[in-house]
Amino acid sequence: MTHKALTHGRSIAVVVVVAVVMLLAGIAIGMAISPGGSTQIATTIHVPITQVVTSTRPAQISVIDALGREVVFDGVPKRVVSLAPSVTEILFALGLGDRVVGVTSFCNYPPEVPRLVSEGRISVIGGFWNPDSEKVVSLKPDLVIGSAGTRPHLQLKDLLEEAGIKVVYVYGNDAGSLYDVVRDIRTIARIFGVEDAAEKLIKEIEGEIGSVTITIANATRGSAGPKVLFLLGPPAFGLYSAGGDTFIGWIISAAGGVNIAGKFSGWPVLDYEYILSNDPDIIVVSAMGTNYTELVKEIGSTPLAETKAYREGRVYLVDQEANDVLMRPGPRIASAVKLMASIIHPELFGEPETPVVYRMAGPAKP
Amino acid sequence: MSQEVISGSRRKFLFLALLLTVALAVSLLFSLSVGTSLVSPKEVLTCLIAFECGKSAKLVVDMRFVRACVAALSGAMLALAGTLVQGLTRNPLADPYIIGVSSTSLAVVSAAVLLSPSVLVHRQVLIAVAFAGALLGYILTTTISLLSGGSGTSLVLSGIAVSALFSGISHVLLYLSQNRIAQLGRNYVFLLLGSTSGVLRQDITYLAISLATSLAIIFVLGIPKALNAYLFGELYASQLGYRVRALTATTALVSSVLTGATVAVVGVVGFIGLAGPHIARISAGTSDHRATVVLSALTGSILTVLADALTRAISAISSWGELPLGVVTGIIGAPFLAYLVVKGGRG
Repeated sequence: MTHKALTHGRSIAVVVVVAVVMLLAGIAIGMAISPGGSTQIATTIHVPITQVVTSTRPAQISVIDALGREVVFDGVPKRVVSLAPSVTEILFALGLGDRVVGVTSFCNYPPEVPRLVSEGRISVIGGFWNPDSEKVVSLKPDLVIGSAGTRPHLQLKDLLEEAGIKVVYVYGNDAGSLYDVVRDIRTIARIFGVEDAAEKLIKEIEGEIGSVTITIANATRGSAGPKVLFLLGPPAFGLYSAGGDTFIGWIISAAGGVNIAGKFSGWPVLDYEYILSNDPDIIVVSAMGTNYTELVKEIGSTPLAETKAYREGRVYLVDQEANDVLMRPGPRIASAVKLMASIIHPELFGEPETPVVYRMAGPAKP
Repeated sequence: MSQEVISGSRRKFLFLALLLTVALAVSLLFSLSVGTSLVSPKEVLTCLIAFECGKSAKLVVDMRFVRACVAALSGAMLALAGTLVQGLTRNPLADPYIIGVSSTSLAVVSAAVLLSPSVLVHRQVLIAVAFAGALLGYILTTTISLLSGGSGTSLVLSGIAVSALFSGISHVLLYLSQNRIAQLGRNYVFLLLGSTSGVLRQDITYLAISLATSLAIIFVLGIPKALNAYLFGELYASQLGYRVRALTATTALVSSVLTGATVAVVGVVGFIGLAGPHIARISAGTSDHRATVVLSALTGSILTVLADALTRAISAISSWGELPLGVVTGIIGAPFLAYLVVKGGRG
């Protein structure tokens, strides 16, 4: 009886159930695969603020890092390895350069970093995405600082802790605003007991950004700024942009622009229809070491040529130092806001001066 | 008696082909009315039927048209390649990437980016490099396969060897070049993940030329009929007068051209090449390649057009941006395939 029911009467129901289950599974897989999707949103929900945990023994310092872990230090670390360019920049900006024994091959700022590396006083422990765990351990550090948004850094945690090395994660590439960067600076400063230097640095950064935002606010008087499209690489590589919860997204809005990909999260792929229907006034492209004139010509051969930005000659390519400044959530965030402000509001701040920003030659002929 | 059976199945084939063509036309129309900008479907329809377009509506319809055409062509090409490869290997689980074209393509692209990042600037150069890489994969696989006798099994095994070697190489190369390709939170494996979001008008031409050439080769050389004989064994096919080595090499070449062109233009799109042929076979009720070659192209086309429209709809309402096409083709196609399998198994 049940056998018969299963083969005849309920077969359609079985098919429907199978189809629904597969659909749900498919959506779940899709969400897991979708680049920078829900995982990134989830990490920003429980924001662990770097708390000052008052300890009875002044020698012992405890910080809560970007992953919400409590890390306790018995003394001030003397040998530090930085796994991210932004962390290296923070360490040097706080005057802790003499503690740094290892950096990534991407760490090129401040200029003394490459000098110390070539003198052999700082070792290179691999790239930002592929730190060499053996090299890190062989430097015998007391502390390794990594970026919470970078999976290879998280994978190092257990290995390093097993070797008795303390690991602290800052927001790093997961930073979505100035406030995350400020938290990173405070976390690092607290470990080394240099809170005064940190507050001075933060005040400086906030002051510089404040003066930019006030200038913009006075000039625009509350009207919405120009629409900005940011592209991560040449369009032929895919129309990857920066969502509203990314560092670049925050820089664009702080500099008085409206990020047209602001409604997305992480690093979304856009299409030409979306871009044209939002008609950006300014296009900023991370050039990734390509040939600038060729890249502008290529942009002109895509539907991007129909945008107001291209017609008015407001396509900017950022590369090398300009690209580093915009991409690294570190102490140069004020320079990043200034750079973006001079791209968005050249009438207020003059054309950008940071090397290398390339503006396409003249307005295109209509 | 046998004559009647043939004419009966021919009538069924013609009916199915007509039905699927109409379905394709409907899906294209549906695809044109879905998008990330706020142009109403009504406006799109008047633009298409009455040729009365606002300037912005025309621009939007133009771009959607390019995407829909690329999706339709690449879906047809992948499913067609899948039918050929499944016949060639006599393996229902074979998909067109089994010849090794996608991994060699990725390896060659990443080597080119490592040598000169300016390769990334020109879409045409990128497409040419990726296509050359796909053909390199074909040449390697067929050479190894011919050296080992040229049978269907040796082709699968050589394809697996070439894929394994080159996906290893491409991962090493991408690891080295990732400071250029992926500076931020993006992992390098997303390169070549299929999407039609950045396609241009010229891409339609590339795909159309590859498809037309392949179809010409398929029908001029009578590959479907030869594959029918080949299904019963290499010996059987050679007794009927077919040159087995030439047949396997040509069929593999055609599949590689079809797959390589889609890899170069839209990237790797899963599911279509594997399931498209099955959907065509089950709904036609026959494995006759003369029928399934045409029907699989149509079903692959419909599935990809619908999946592409769905990625745009998702992008419009969610915060994820455009999802990879291969994920969505699976979500749309898998329940349908499951339904057909259950129905076919019972009937």
